[in-house]
Amino acid sequence: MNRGHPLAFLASAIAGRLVAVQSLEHNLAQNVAQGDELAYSDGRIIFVPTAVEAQAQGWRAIAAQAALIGAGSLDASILLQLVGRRAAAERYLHWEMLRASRLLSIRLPWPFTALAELQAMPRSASAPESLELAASRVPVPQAPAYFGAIRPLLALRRALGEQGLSALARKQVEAPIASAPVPQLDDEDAGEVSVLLRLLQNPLSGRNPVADLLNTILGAGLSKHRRAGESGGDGGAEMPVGRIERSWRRGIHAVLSKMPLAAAALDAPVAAPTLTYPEWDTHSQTYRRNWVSVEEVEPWRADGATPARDALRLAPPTPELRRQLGGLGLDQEFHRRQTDGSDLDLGALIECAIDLSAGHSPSSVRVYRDALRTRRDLAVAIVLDISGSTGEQGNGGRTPFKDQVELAHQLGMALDSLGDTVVMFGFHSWGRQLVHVVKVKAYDERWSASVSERLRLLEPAGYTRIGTAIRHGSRVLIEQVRLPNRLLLLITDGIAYDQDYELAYGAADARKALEEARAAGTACLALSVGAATETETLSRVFGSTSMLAVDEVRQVTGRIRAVCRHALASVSRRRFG
Amino acid sequence: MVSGYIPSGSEKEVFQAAWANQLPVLLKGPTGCGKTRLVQTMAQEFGRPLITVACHEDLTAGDLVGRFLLRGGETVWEDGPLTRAVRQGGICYLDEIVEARADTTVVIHPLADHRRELNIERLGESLTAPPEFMLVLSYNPGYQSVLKDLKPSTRQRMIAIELGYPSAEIEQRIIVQEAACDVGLAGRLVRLGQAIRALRQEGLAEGASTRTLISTARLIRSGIPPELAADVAMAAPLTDDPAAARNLREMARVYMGTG
Repeated sequence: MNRGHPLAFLASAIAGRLVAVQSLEHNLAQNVAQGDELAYSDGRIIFVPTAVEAQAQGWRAIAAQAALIGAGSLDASILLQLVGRRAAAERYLHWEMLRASRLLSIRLPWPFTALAELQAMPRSASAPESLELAASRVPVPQAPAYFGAIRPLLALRRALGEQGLSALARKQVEAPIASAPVPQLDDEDAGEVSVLLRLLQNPLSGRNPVADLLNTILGAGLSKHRRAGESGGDGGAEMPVGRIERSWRRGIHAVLSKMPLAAAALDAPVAAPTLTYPEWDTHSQTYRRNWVSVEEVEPWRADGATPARDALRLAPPTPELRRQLGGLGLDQEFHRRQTDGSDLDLGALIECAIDLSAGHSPSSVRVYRDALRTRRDLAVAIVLDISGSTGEQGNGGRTPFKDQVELAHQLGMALDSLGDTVVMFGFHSWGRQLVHVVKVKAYDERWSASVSERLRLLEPAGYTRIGTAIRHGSRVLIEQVRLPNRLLLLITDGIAYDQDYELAYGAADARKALEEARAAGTACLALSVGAATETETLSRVFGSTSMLAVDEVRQVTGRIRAVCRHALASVSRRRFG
Repeated sequence: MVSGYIPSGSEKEVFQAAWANQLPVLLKGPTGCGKTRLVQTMAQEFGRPLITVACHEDLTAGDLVGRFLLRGGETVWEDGPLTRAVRQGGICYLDEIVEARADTTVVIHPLADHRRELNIERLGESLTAPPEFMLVLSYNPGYQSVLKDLKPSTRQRMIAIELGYPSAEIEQRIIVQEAACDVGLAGRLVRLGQAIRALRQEGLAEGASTRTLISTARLIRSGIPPELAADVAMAAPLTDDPAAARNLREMARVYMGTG
């Protein structure tokens, strides 16, 4: 999708982040039918009507929307104030466009910043200031068509999907601008407000803190505007509100239904756990021995259904990814007595010279030494986070879960085909007594269709207990695979969230688990795809050089080699140095 | 003849002071931001020979220090570039030092610390560097950190000069000077460069460097149409992916003002 549009790079460059461009003809035709032939954006995708695109200067509309993204104009806390307030949104657009074109002038095309409409001095220094200006009803000139439009509801929904509800809710509470609504905003399109509220009050989720919050922010006008059969808004059922809860509940329910009755109470100890691991208690600075119980299970589905092949199409690794990973297991070593090389092997040379001067034909003419690339044995554990949070909607309507599974598939397949030993498992948990390790590929098994099939069977459910996953991966590598070079690739969307395993505690435990693994000579890397939320915590725990966060799977290709090599080099230095 | 290096900050002064105090310099910065150019300029100002070694994975200690060669029935020693620089009191510039393997970089340790010595094991000889000798290392911090591979004593004696891509205004001046082009063209190229650098997320190995901007300007001056020049000098070398190349071309079309 992203590379599909020729101007996608232009948009990404101006926005300063990965942005896709979509022609409006195929996808959202109904919006075009509503009348505006204007480009707009939800913060990740710029939608541009084909009629605009066809113009000679059609790129301006894309540049304008990208500039808004780059300047932070589509921030959720601001847009919340503009829902249903079309005139205010237009004024806001004017002030923000002036601000954005100045702010980003150095990377905007010269023909864009030279446009007559953008020569006025901006009067606001930030998006909230523009919002105040918009609210103050200072008249603005008629906007040229290339300015496009702001669609608060659309961008807000994307932000909700991306950041998760809790993040947004927190932001709203903290942001003074949100808690003190601008009173002068006109209210000509209040119908849309109630649509938003109705979307958020998804019947599946019951009472919803964000809906309550929105209620407070947007005023008590809800009941007044609530009418049966109100049209507008699209795809409300896809709001993440219900989805998260549903998938988590389903996960717990699914596990409970499969477990023996005695173990069904979550807090009751599991009768005969297969494996136990310690956990680091950061509060008391001690280990809790045998604290976590891990059960290894086969992938299965509660509903017994085999997922359709189309549901999760797993592409094989690209030749480029294979090439990048190909160099990983190679190491340079000096070899003596070579027929050719960078340096003379003086010992061999002297023997050769003695033979020659004694009148013999030399027994060997291998008189060089050279550094040769030799393949070393590499064992890789791919540890996949399959907790419920990965099932939340994110990147371009995709869930991090799908991206993560795809990444695991590509890496696993590529490394296996290169001859490395690959072991792969997923993990999720429901408290310390119930950590499930879902076996995907055993170390002594070659890659086959059944491995891909098992990957396809995985479902996002439960929570994340990351320290245990690292300890298990490291243990499998050391006890089962037993190769000198070990790499643990953790694919996750965030650090920690489980019963009695909150962020600070979990981060400390994960850091400890990493320390243990690295001290044992296992290189550890965290990979995160399309989950922008917790990459900072991840990089703090793993170290910024042992961490790769990307928006899309394909972006891994160019960078995986460098981070893997770095991770492997850092443990080998520790071991030998 | 190298002339007219336009500094972004006080890098020239720092370099000069490091040389005067016999301290090695570590240049950090992305490809094509002017690291080599700075070293060339300084070597010329000091009036010392500059010996450059482009480091790579297959570089051995022997490649740096020297090796025995066979000549007739005899072995003959030949100095490597590092040894030559020490003997001549020149500036030895190890470009992209990270690319070299750790066992190769070991030979520079005694040269970089207070001893300023080069041990040539094969000859059983130890050279003390004259005061004019200077060791300059460069690396691209986009890759891994070189600092870990250096001993603490060595690391502490390194003077680190960090070079980034120059600011837009300075980059424009550099292009005008290097390509002898007009300010308007340089300005457009600078914006295109800034935009491509903002594309980090797109998986491009690196951004458009000052060097590529200068090359583009030179091609345009030679009569190549701007769009084509930007394509061949900037877009095409950055990526092999046809879709990415096409998107970069589209960007060039917009930024070069022919769209």
